[in-house]
Amino acid sequence: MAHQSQLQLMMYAESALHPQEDAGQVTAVSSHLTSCHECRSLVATLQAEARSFSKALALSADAQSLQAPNPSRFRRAHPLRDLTLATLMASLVTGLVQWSWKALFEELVLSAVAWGTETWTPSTYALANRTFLFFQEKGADMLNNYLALIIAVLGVLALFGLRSIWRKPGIFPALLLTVAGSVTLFGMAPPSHALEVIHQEEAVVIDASETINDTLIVAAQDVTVHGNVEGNLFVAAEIVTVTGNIAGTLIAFAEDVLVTGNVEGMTVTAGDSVEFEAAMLDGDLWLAGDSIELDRDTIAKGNLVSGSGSLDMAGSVAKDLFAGAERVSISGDVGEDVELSARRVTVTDSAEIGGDLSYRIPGEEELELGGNAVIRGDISYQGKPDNFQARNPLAHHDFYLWSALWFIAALLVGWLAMTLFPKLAQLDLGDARDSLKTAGVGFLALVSVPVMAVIVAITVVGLPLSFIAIAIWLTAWYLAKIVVAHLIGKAILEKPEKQPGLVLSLLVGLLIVTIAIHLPFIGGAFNLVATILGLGLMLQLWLNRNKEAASD
Amino acid sequence: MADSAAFEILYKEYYPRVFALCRRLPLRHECAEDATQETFTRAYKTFRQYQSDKPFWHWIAAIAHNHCIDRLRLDGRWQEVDMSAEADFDQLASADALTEDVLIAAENQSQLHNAIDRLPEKYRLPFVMAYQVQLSYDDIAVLLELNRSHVGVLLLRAKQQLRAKLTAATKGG
Repeated sequence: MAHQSQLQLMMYAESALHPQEDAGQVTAVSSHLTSCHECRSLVATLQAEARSFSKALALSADAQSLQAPNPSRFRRAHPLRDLTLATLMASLVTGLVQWSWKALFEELVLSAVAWGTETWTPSTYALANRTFLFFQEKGADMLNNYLALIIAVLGVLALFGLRSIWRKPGIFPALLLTVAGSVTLFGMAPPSHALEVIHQEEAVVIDASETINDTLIVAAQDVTVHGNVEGNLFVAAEIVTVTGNIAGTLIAFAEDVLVTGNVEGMTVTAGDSVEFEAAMLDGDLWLAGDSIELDRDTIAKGNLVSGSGSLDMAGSVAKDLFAGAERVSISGDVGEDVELSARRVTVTDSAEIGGDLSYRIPGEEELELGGNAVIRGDISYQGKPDNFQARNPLAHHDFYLWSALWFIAALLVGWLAMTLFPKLAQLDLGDARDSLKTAGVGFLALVSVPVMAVIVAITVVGLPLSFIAIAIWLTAWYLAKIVVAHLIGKAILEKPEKQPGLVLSLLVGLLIVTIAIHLPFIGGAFNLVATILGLGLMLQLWLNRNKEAASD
Repeated sequence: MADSAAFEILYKEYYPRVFALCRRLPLRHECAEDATQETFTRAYKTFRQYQSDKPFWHWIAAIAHNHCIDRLRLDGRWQEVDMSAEADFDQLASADALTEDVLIAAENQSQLHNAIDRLPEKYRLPFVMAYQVQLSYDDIAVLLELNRSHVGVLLLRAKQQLRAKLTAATKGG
């Protein structure tokens, strides 16, 4: 008698034959078993064997008692709280960077460099010195103000988040709000400064005899500052009048802003009417409003950047003037270049421009140029003001060409990088908490590496290290978006039962990223977030490489 | 997003089993820990896709299996199963099933576990899925993208190798 195959008997013994699909086999085996004692015995043994395997592979008591690690990543997400805490941390880190910049770079390093230049100046060293002295002159304030602005924005976000989380008063929220406020102002004020906050309905007047030794924040209906503010002044009101001296930055938001005093730092104002009368402004001016006027006695030692309905500039601007307005009138002095975009431009006889005058207006006849106006550089008509279509890169063929090239290059580089370093393809953002940690690390890397590279570069030995660090940083910057694109592609295509392929994930992710970073208005923000997250992921991967190597 | 509290309970309950599975699949201790965490992370992300009429254990075991295969592929330790060479049913060598006393002896001496660990991956995976995870032939077939008969062939091969190893070890011991 021909026996059934062992495969059939095994599947029959383990009920792996379907009564319907394998009806023929089931019938054949069943009828065979009724007449074959040998096969019946084998089936019984196979069943016992299968049970034994299952029993042997069941978890032992020891294994069952294995404790799962802390399951924090599966706890209920608190995105708002996490975001707020991450914002606070980012503020703190930025503040530390700024403090380091001021305390180490400006105070110690540059002083040492200046001293060194006088005593010993081999060519490379002199070149480095000149570079950093240039930074001191041109870049320190810029970076400082830039960091301060970031901190201010992060601080406001943090305050908003905290307020949203803890609506009920209590000691803990109050404490955190205080910390958040302090962190915010830590970046704005010089390190030694404290903080004074005034918030009231009626008018606030700082008398001429009064000196505020701290950074001052004021929110009121009318704010008048006749006295001195040793720190920064932030003011939000209907009417703001500053006749005193501000040692730091002035940021004012009001319907009417009038400045007749001195501002030693940057000036940022926005309002319906912004006027400067006999003001002495040491830093750059960033102005926005319906009407902006600088009278003939106003002196600005930095650049003037404005966006307004009308701009009347009768004063003196030591550096460049960039303005976009319906109507621009220049009757004062500008030390360097003037770039204008307006419907009508008037340069009066009394105007003097040290550099070039370039302007965009609907027609050349809209420029009224006084015959006695002095323009030392070139005068160039740039055509009509940019309209949306002209500004919109999507309207140009070049945009699509370069985007396609970027896409292809990123795909190739991404594939190569992830093939050579498979761990890059394994990166994962994790839960909200991990993502925030990654964002924090990425933000830190984005901001701190260039600063540290500059600091390291002050020594001859450190200069090559600095170049290497910057090269790595730039490479990581480029790869960051590719890594995030792969994550996005993987997340979209991921299924529990199957992981998507590398090329397909990159293709989908890069397509989305390429589109997203070019979206109007939000593209830049997406680009920044993707870069920060990508940098954070790669930096964490690098920091954890020893652990990974050990586990492999 | 998954219900965190519910998932946390499942996580605690199934962590030892998933860990044991990852160890068997086979990843070393530290890698198995990572793989277990990654398995639960993936499961957490896709918890909505879990159909509650099926055992959770089977669902998460499939995720663990897929992740471990990915890891093995990345490490260059995974070779795709070439089923064409295995599909000739008639060529399967016949061998007697193991008697219970051999298996019990093997269990006590950890010989069975060692023998399973030494199985080629293409045999060990379906074997573990069948007798550790308790997946049906159909479920294993879906997981490995094979048909049910091929799963049977692989299991039969696995058992034949185990029988040979255990019988030799028992006789030798």
